[in-house]
Amino acid sequence: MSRSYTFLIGSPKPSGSTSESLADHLMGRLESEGERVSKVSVRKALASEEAMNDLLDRVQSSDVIVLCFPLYYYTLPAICLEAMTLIRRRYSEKAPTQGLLAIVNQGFPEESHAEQALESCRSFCDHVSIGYIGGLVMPAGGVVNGEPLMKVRGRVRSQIKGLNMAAMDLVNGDPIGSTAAKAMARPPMSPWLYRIIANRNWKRMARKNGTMKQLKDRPYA
Amino acid sequence: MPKALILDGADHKDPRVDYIGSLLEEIMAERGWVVESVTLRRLELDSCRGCFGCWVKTPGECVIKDDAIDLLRKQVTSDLVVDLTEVLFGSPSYHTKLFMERGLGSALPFMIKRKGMTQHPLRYECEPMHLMIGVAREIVQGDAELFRRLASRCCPGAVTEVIDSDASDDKVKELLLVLLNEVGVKV
Repeated sequence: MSRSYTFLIGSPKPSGSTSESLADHLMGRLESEGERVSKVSVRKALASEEAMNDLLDRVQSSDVIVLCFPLYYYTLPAICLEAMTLIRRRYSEKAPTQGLLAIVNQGFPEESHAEQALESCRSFCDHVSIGYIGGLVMPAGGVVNGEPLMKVRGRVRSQIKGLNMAAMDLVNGDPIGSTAAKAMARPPMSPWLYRIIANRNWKRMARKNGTMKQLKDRPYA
Repeated sequence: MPKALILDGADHKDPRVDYIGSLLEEIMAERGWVVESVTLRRLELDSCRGCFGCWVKTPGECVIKDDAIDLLRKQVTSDLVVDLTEVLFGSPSYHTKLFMERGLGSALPFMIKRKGMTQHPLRYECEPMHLMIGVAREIVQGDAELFRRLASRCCPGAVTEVIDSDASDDKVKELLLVLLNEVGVKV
């Protein structure tokens, strides 16, 4: 029998987030295996009581929550912490969901920056008594930049592989395997090259905005 | 006179957080500090949108014009910033984290390698001392440890502690004196 999944998109960006790109890919794989999937924006849910109740209802009716979020200050964005608090408050005894999978994307090229975020997700699972299915970390998420993974393709080959393997783990009702996690965490390019490209991009964007000379300004000093 | 900014980040009015905040104010004022206390949940604070405008459009300044702007300025010009927050799943409260995220512009966009890890250099040469105090009703050991590690990553050099909200007034005062001493407030 197929299982139901609610994907919570935890990016505060109004649109075009890498969190959503990763979610969309995994959702597609799960759907092709006959699983039932739906997606909710945490940012939009927090904007009204009605939308938040809808999010909480979907959590109640799902077998699996997939929380996709960008790393903000080494952990989950504030909006995700708020949603987790509201889920905990509604289900103070035990959340009806069977498990949670966390998918993190981060600008840094080293996977270990996301350790604390995954630990917080695990702690959340303990507090609401649901299973922690696993955590997937995509380093150097800037290469996706909100595009569909199949469009970016070459550079995110390993992440596509990791998400496809994670989909099969989920379909089989298994925890996320280390092979999927390792494929996901493989940097799309070497960290030194990523830093060079990222730094050039910041300068290019500053030039476009006419702020090249102000990049290191200290407006509050 | 040295300046301190106390940020109450509790998501709801919490008598214990209020007490700790008042006690901090009192102790520091007695020692000649100018103290300002701000309750974050009373402010208009929008969420960071991850637009990176504070890096490339208006370097150092957030593009969202709400109460965070004035507070970010105060933070930079303070000698000591104290965060009072609940501990949620090893992370700070929603309001503390919300304001923290709005301070992205206090780092530079460039990526550098330091101690084997990629990081963003700080925009300001002289950062205020930082004291992060988590207040928890029942301290889950793993969460407290996670909170301390997270705080020290977010604010390198910060002094961090998790206080049991059931601790006696005397014990809280004793602990605060130790913490203030660690951040350079002569007690």
